Amino acid sequence: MLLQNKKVLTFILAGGKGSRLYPLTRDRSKPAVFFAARFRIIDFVLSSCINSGLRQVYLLTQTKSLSLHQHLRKSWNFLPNELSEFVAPVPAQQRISEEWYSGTADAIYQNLHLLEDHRPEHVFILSGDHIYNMDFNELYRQHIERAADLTMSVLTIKKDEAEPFGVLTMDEDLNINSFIEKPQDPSLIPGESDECHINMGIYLFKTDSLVRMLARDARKMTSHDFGKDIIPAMLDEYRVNGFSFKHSRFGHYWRDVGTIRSYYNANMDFLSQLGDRVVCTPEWPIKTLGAPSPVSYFGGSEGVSIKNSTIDLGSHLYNCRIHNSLIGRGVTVGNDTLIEDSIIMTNSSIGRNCVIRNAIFDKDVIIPDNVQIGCDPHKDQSHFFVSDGIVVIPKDYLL
Amino acid sequence: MTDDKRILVIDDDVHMRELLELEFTDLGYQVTTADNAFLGLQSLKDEMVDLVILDIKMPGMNGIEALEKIVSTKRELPVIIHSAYSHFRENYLTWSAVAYVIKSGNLDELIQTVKNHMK
Repeated sequence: MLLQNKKVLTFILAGGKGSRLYPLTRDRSKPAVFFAARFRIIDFVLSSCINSGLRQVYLLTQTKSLSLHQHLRKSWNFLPNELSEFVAPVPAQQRISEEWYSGTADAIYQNLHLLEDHRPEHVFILSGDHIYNMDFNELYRQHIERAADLTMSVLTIKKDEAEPFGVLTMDEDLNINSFIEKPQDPSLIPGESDECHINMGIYLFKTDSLVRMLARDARKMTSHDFGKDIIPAMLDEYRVNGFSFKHSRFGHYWRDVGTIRSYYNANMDFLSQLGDRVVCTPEWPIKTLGAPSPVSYFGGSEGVSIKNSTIDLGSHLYNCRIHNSLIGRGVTVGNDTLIEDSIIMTNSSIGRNCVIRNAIFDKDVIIPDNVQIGCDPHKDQSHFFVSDGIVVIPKDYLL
Repeated sequence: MTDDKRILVIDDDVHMRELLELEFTDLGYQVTTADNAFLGLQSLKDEMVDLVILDIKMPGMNGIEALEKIVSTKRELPVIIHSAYSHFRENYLTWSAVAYVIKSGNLDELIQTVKNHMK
């Protein structure tokens, strides 16, 4: 069963501000932030859509959306319009009133005309903020077999990590019977001592049920949010099911990258997953911008030492050491420089005899010779933006 | 008590406006009418209204667009769609109305629906 032939429309909520990812979100929304020094965060959910056969995809954008729109135009405009296939950004248009999107549900409600235009039978609503692979056919199959009004993907995590999420309980027949957004005391999975089910922001709705709930919610003074308002209100009247992500095809890897620390950890985790060849496989490719760069160049008489790292195209490295790091496209690193446990994004340039540790460089950063970053916490604090022990150098930074 | 309850009728058909004004005034409601959606939306800004009876097929802004604007600004104000056409009932954009009543010579269904939704 391939979703490509089904009457399914997809919305990706791609307006996340990502305030806690500052300064990576200084000039762009969270889905447009680079990941693994190669991709953008949005590339993961979009790749899963395309790989699964979801070919009618709207991205709802709002704040600081230029970077995301440019990325979509350059990287995701390959589907044939003649076959009614598309990945199309929809900026907040104030089409109905002078209000921006006031919540996730309001973002869909303000675009009901798109549902009316397409008249799909089912609607996927996905978050553009997370790093994961998913074959949406598995979730769709369960949704149809169980005739659910809403099927939402569910992740199992430790109780002490669950507080920032929507926590739910589910019976043996996968019916969700309680849902609380960001609870102080998360409910445990029955029979488990310290594990909870959380909402992953991956929903498949029967269209009529979705529209009824959105229309009802639009008439109330709520926060117009799926987690806070729509899902809890559906539990008594509708068939709301959970889909176990853990038992799905790619159920071993899902990361929320809400903070600089979680973003950094997810990147490093991705690096080790790459080494294990469990992400970015040929049968489930992650698509991103395919810039026409030459292969990378490794120069100098003593050579370049690279351990557990990735080097993207078009980079020039001379007599340097790159350890446990992700190096983006078009990066230059000078002689006798050490880069360790760091993420260096596109088109950055690092001089000679530098030491860079535990750092994230956004794109287009220029560092001169003899600079040390991540070696002296006090010095770092006085010169750079530091979050949870990680130095973050913003875009276009010229030291 | 219905004396302090006000209904806004938005309909381009003068006969329908007059009929509804007469009928609901007799029932004790105050009635304001507008012959197009722009004037209707202006009336909502100018005066307190407790319920809207809204036609769909009107020149200029139609009732579906007007409904979207009403819900976005006055979320809890009940809007009853009153149309000669049944097929708009399937249009998702009409689903935020509290009721959909097909126009007919007999106003019993509309009257009962208004009573049900008048707070």
